[in-house]
Amino acid sequence: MLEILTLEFMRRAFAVGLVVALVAPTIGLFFVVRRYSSIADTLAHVSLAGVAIALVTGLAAIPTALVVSIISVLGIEKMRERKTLPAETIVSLFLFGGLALGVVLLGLVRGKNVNIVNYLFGNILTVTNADILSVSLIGGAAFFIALILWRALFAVSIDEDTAEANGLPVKWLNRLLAILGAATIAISMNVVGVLLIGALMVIPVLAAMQFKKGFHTTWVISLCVSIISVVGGLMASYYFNLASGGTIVLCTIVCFILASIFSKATV
Amino acid sequence: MPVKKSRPIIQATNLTFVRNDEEIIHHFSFEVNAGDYVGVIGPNGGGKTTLLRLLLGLLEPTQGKIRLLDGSPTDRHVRRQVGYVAQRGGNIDAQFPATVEEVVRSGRTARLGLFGRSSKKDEFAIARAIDMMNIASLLGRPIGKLSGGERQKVLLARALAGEPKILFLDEPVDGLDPASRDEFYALLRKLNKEGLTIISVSHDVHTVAEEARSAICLKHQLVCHGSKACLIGEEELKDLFHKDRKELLRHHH
Repeated sequence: MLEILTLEFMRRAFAVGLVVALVAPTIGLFFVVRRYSSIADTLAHVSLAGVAIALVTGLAAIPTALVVSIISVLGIEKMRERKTLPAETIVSLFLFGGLALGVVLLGLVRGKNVNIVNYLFGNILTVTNADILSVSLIGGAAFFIALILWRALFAVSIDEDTAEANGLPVKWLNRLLAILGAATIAISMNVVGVLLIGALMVIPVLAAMQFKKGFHTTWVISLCVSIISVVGGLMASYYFNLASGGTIVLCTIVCFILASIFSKATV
Repeated sequence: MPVKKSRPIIQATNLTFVRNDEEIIHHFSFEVNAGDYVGVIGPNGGGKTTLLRLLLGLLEPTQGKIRLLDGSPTDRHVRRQVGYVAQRGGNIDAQFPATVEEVVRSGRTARLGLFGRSSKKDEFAIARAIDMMNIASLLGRPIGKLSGGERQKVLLARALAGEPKILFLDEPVDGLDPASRDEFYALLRKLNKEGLTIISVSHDVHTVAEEARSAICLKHQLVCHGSKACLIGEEELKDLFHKDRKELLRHHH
């Protein structure tokens, strides 16, 4: 354990990984309980288009992916509010649109010493000091906004109609939550990659929900699962030379299986 | 029971609501006084829930105007004085990870505002709602593991935690067993006696005739409004349900 921490790139990976481990299930919890977790996948694919734009234009990847995701997510929310199309079809529209744009733009930079695989599947070696700064700032902001608005986000998540009838600004809270989701995706690209970030937002929450506890307890358990998975996954990827993103997600699945078994034994 | 002489707490004027070119509610007006217990009655698809959603500001009237308390149903200060219990526990997912206490507390959120902190007054209101509904023994249980009757009591406690001036209920006893229904209606009677204005949507003529102080009968148009006399009138009931009064009341006994 100590040896691993003497390495600069691993220290960076743990720093970024722990921020992501705190933020992903915190925001993911609100998507999962509303049965809206497919938004995480959509935002991931849209953020791939953001990365592609950054590679073509030479801009920084994480902020560009964040801006593109926020624009998309506001578009999704606007269309969802109109209720002319089912929510899942709107999400699919943006998912495929984002992926298609990403593929087209990445075709333009093919062969220009760009390793898109790092963004798709995550690579701890790619974490820079600038990444740590942007991940900490964006992730920290997303985490604390969620905590400050926790009660209101909970009330809207459990029953949107009653929350609106009681005077909570449901539309704005939904938009804000979607933006927090976009921020979570953007900061997680280096750790687990855009194809797997949805898993880190959803699986720790599903594992925690196996215990059928209250909202606050479910959140705390999901944080524990997420932190254990990120730390365990990074260590396993270092010692066994495995892909970091995939290893972290496999750790969350192991936690989910253990939670399913353990909850049946205790509930 | 006579309707209390009081100021109007709800005023709907020339209300019309059209959805997909279909007129769900056609041009009617009514008033509800503070302290009243109004049963909104009518056949399925007659516009009862639509009327409730218009009064709650969840739908916008195509024509006409609604005045609730001292403002519009969409005014934030008005909405904070409104309680709502949706049909069959609303849209709360049975898998939703929340305890009864968390659900009841969420009823106070709008009163606190987005950044407000819970004060002694808030804690008192929550404790009173729990006490009134007699659900202290359920507080630690997951909402998804309650029976229908327990769930409705919890949702009523959530609405009461916000200390509403008007309570809107949409088919509140739908799906409950007779004992849970009686208990629920007894709670509503008690709340109304304490001065809470109640607007309860139902398709059960017998219950409205028994429980409410006055009635709004609608089938897209306002068939009658005011005292419960319209529930006793043969012609009006036939017009509403295409059934005889005796048949309707026997059906619900």
